[in-house]
Amino acid sequence: MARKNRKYGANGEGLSLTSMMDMFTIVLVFLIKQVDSEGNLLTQAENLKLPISTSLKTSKEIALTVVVDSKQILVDNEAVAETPAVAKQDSLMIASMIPALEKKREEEKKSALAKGDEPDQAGNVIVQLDKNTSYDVMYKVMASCGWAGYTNIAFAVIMKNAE
Amino acid sequence: MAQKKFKYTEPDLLPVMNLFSVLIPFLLSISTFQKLGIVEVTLPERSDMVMNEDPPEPDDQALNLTVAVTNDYLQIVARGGMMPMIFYKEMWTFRCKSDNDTTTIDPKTLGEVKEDGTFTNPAKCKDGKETNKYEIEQVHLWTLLKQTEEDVGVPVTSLYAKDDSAYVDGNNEFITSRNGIQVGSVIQTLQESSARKITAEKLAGMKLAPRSAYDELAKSLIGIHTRFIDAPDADNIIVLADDNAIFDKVISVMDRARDSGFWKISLAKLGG
Repeated sequence: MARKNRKYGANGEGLSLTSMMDMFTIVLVFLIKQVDSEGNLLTQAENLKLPISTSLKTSKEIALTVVVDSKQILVDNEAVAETPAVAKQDSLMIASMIPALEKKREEEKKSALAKGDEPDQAGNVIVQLDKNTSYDVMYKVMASCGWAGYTNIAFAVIMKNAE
Repeated sequence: MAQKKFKYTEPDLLPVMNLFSVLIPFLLSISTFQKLGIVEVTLPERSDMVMNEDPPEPDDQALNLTVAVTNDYLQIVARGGMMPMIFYKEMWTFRCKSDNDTTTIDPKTLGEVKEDGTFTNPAKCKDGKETNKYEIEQVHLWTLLKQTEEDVGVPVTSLYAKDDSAYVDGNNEFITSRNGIQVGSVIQTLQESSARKITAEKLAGMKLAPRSAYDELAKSLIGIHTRFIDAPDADNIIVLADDNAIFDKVISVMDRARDSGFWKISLAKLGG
């Protein structure tokens, strides 16, 4: 008999969720703050490990993202070239990458004109390279970006000792 | 007056709980706990990439500082002079996913790298999984002391803090033994104004480790930056790297250059 009374809801009360709610509210506020302070200008692509660096700079402006992982090169999330093929080629320019970059550059110029900004400003690009990519591939990607008008090049890194 | 009797009931929190349990996984999924930063570089210096044809007049006062990164050594080259080569032995640390153990291997024993990043003679984890070039966790450059270029060289060790920063003495020379270092003695790292009294905890964390060629490079660069602070291009540095140098190595060299005061970094290709 006594045992039966101990069961939840025996007296018409539900499970008390107040303490759990308190906890959830704190977690929620923390997460919202975390996401908010970071901004989403730069998100790490999947399938690659970024190098760790002591750099303290963060991206301030919206920039085109080029991702180079072990398999392919992506311009704004669209695959344009295969990394092993790029490593093998002799030419400094990645032929299949340039049209995609130039198209993006044209779009950026158009929107700059529409906003009344100077359209000929150097384009910004953030290159996310896997930390074990060879310098040769990295150099070819940089050269192609420069050729297409993206001359402000930055590499994405994971901050060391980030607070 | 008959007062209506108020009976306390808990508010129904279930809908709020539902909302929370959706929001929390969502926010967790979009937030990253590693903070992403950027490293800015200027475009490679190469004739076919520079738009204006005339190269700038060579400046007699300019420092023209360059760091060459090859497979065997790092070398600093500046106006009309070369610093001695910093020879190193490259070591790769892999982390096995199965047991979370790290192994540090000489890459020369792994053979050739194939297209997909596997090696012809790979090392194996305990569960039999082969190491892959894209799973290198860390690249170490162990400084070698060589008398001649043909010499095999002997690895040198120096004193490191627990967080892997190298200790130096008052003359900015690496400390090679624990002798004479005790609680209360003041030593510094390569960073500016880093002289600190050693606490018991720090003393316990100290270790003699293979000296990193990056630290050797940083030491030389700091010296150069203080000596040539008046040069018109005192903040500029060009990093020249070999084709198969991996990106992590280049970033580490760039980090050391920036931390030594050379923050305008350009990249160029060795022999390109």
